[in-house]
Amino acid sequence: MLGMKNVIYIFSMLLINFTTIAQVNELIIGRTTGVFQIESKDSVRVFGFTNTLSGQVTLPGTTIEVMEGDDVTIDFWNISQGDPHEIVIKGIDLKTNDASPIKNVDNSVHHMEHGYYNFIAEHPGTYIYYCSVNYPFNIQAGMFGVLIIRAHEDYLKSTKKETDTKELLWCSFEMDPQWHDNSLMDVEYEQQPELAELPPYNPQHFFINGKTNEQLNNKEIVMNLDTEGPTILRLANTGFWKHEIKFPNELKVEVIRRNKLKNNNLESIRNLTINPLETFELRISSKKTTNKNIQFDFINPETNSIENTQYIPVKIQNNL
Amino acid sequence: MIMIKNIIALILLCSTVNIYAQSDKTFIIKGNSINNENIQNSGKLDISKISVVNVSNKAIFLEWKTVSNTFPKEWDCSMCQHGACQIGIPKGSVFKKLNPDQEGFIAIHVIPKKNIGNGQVMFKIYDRDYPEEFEILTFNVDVL
Repeated sequence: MLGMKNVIYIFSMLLINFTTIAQVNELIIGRTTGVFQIESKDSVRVFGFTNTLSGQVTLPGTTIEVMEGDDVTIDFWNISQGDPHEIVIKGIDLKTNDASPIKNVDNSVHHMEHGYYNFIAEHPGTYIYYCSVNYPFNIQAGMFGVLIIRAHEDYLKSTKKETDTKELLWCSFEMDPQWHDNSLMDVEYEQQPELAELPPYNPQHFFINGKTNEQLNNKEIVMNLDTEGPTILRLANTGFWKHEIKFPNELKVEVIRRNKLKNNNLESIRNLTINPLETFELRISSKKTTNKNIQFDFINPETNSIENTQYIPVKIQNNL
Repeated sequence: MIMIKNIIALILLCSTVNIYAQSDKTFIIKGNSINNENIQNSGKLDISKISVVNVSNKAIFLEWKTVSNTFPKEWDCSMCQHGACQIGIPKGSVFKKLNPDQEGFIAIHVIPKKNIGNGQVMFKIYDRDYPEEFEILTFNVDVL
């Protein structure tokens, strides 16, 4: 009888494991010859992460979405020439797969080769992944993206369509075009770039999800809020400056997570500062209409002055 | 009369030098100029590469052009050349400087995304100083 109980227990545990833990493989391709539009006509060369061979580099790179508990393998295919590249996820320790052909002791992957990084998605949250080689040059060049680990409880509460419509991701960053010159980006294989010779960081362009203020003025990003339920806003600062957001009083804004830490004491906030490589998850709701915008400031950490501001319209749906 | 003979001799000499210079090939293909690849539709072609070597005694710049591409549009593909990896397969570009005896290459990568079929991509490659002395590099890919 006891043996039977043990068998049922073991079977149940195995069933739970098989149904809740999935093996997830994500292909991420490293690129160094992308073209990124900064204004209506101007473009710069960028590095970046994509998941297709023929797709242009976007900033941020490919968003990786997994479920809590997933056993995730990132197949990093470095299709570039020059220095090796590496994937690092802030807040998660990556293991290199035993079968990985990663040859470098620092876990970087040589050009034209694959490297496999593995992790268990233990803590739900929003994470930034990036290339740490030649820091800070490669991240400014464009080698960054966002990883989302969804909690089971959130996933079970809503359908995929609801998740898509009620979730927003804003990845903000600045760009200094001087750092995107071919003379700096064309690094020979096994030749280190002279990081000491980088020009002083003097960003001229400011982006949210790769859109400039000019593009935002065309309302390419709008915060659509639903009065029937809250919207989850994920924020990721992949720049080197501080980014500060000011929300209109009509919105109720609560911090759910800061980096991977869950905030158990939800309190309403009006302003939020996001430091470099920091992420937040906010719950935003509104019962009132507003014609005010969300203000997004880019702050020079040396002078503490606001160098650029973007305004994001708020649109209330199903409203009163 | 002697003057005319001298002019004719000079023209002949120049023509000979010119013909010699034109046939003076600065690069050769190392191995085969045609690669035939078979891959499973669930897999991918990591790399298929054809190498060239600078056989001249000076640095050269090789240009290339895509002369035909019949890869199915459902396939995801790109190519690399000596010095840069391209996004997709563009119309053409130029190698980074190739020093004497140095090897360069053109390579392709294909993810068929489970689409069975076959296709061929051909590149014309030449020294930019001698565009008439070209070679054709061919990649045949069969997805099973």
